[in-house]
Amino acid sequence: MNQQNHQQNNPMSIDDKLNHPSQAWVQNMVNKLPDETPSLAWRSQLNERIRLEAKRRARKRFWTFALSPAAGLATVSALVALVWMPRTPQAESVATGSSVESAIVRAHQDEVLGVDVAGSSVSYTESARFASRVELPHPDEGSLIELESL
Amino acid sequence: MNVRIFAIAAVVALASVGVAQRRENKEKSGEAPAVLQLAVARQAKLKYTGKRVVEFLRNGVISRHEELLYRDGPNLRIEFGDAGKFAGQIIVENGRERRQFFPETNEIRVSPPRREESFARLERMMRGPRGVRFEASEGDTVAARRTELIKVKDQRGNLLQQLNIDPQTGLVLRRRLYDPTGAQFGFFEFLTVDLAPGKISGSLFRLVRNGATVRTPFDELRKATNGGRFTLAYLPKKSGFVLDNVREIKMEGRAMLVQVYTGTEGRVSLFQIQGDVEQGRLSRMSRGRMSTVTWSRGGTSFVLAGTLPKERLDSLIRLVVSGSNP
Repeated sequence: MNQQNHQQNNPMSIDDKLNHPSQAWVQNMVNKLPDETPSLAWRSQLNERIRLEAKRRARKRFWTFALSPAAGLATVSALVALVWMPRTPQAESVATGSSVESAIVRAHQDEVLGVDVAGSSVSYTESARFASRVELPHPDEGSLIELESL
Repeated sequence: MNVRIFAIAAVVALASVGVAQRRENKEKSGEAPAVLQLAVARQAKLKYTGKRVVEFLRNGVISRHEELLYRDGPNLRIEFGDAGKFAGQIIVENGRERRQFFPETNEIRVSPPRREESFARLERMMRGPRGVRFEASEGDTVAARRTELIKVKDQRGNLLQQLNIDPQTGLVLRRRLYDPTGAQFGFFEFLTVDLAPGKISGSLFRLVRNGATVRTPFDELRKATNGGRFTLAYLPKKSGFVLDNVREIKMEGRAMLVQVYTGTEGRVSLFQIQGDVEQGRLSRMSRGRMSTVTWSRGGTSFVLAGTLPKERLDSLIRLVVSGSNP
C-alpha cells in the first residue's frame, strides 16, 4: 500500500520499470532454464509420422476422386432404370369389381374386334400389351434386317 | 278350256310367289352393294403403298398410332417408324404366316396370317342369313380419293360399321366400327395412298434377323404353363383352328390364361382359370355376341368362346388336348 501510494505520488519511468529488481529476478530465472533443443531421434519420429499421415491422406483423396463419379453414375443409372424401365409384356390387370364372366366376354370381344379394326397390324390386345421404345441403331451403324425366303 | 286357264293362272301365281320369296330373301340376307362385293373380291389382289392411322377406344383408353404399308397381292409389310410406342417394329405377312419383329427384345414372333380375317367376318355377314343390311351412298374424300360409303346395320337398324371404299380398286380407305350403343370404338383411315406404286421389291416381304429369337404362340403357351399355375391344354390343328396368341389376365388374385385361335370360321378363345365360372351368368352376358361352353377339371375351369354355333363349340371341346408337346 505504501509502495502503491508512493508510486501514485511518484510515477516511474520506463527505464526505472525495466531496471526494477523484480524484472531482474525474472530475467535471472529465465536465463537459468535448461536449453531444450529437440533431439534428432524425436525429429526423425515426427517426420515419419508426418510422412505416413501424408500418405494416408493422399490415398483417401485418390479413392474419393475415383469413386465419386462412379457413385454418381450408379445413382443416375438407378434413377433411369426406375423411371424408364423397358416395358416387357406383362399380365393385364382387370379393374377391381369385374367378374370373371365379364372379363371373359370382354377379352374375346377385344380379340375379334381388334382384328376387325387393325387387320394384320397390331391388334387392340397387342396394342395394350406391347410398347417398344425407340431402340433402333443409327442406319450408318449397319444393323440391317437380313433377308431370307420364308 | 277352263282347265287350261286354271293351269296358266296357277303357273303365274306360283311364279309370282317365287319372285316375291326371292326378293324377300334378298332383303333378309342384305345383298351387298356392288362396291362392297368388289372390295371383298379384290382384297387379296390389291397393290399399293400408303400411310394410315389406326385408333382403338376400349376400356376407357384411346390408343392411336400411324403405320406405313406396302402391299402386293397376298404380301404385306407394315412399319411403325422411329417414334411412338411401336417404334422399330416391323410386320411382314404372306399367305402362310405373319412375322412381327420386336427390336427391344430382338425377337421375331411367328403366327398365323391375319390379313384375310378382317374381311372374312364381313364376308360371312354378306352371305349368311343374319339379317345384316347394307346401305350404299356417295362417300367423302379419303387420302385424296373419291369413295363410296357402305353402312352395315343390324336387323333393327343399329349401325355396326362404315366403310369408305375406293370404287376403282376396291381398297377400303376408311373403316369405322361401332359398339352396341352406337359409339365408335375403332377405326383406321389412310392418310396417303399410292395405288400404282410400280414394282415393289420382294425383299420387303421377307423378315429374318440373325441372332434374333424366333418365338411361336406355342412357345408362349409352354412358357405360361411351365410354372405350374396353368395346365397345358390346347386345340390341335385338326380342329381347324390354329393358335394365334397367348396372354395372361390378372384379376383380383386370380390369373386367367387366354389362348386365341384363328380359323376359317373366325376366332375362338380358350380360357383357363382356377376356381368356378358361372355358366348362367356367362351366357347372359354373352347373349347375342358369342357362344360359350364351360367345363372344369381338377379345380380348374375352362371356357371356350366364339361366334360359332354352340354345337360347334361342343364338338371342339372334345378335341381339346391336355399334356406335353403338341
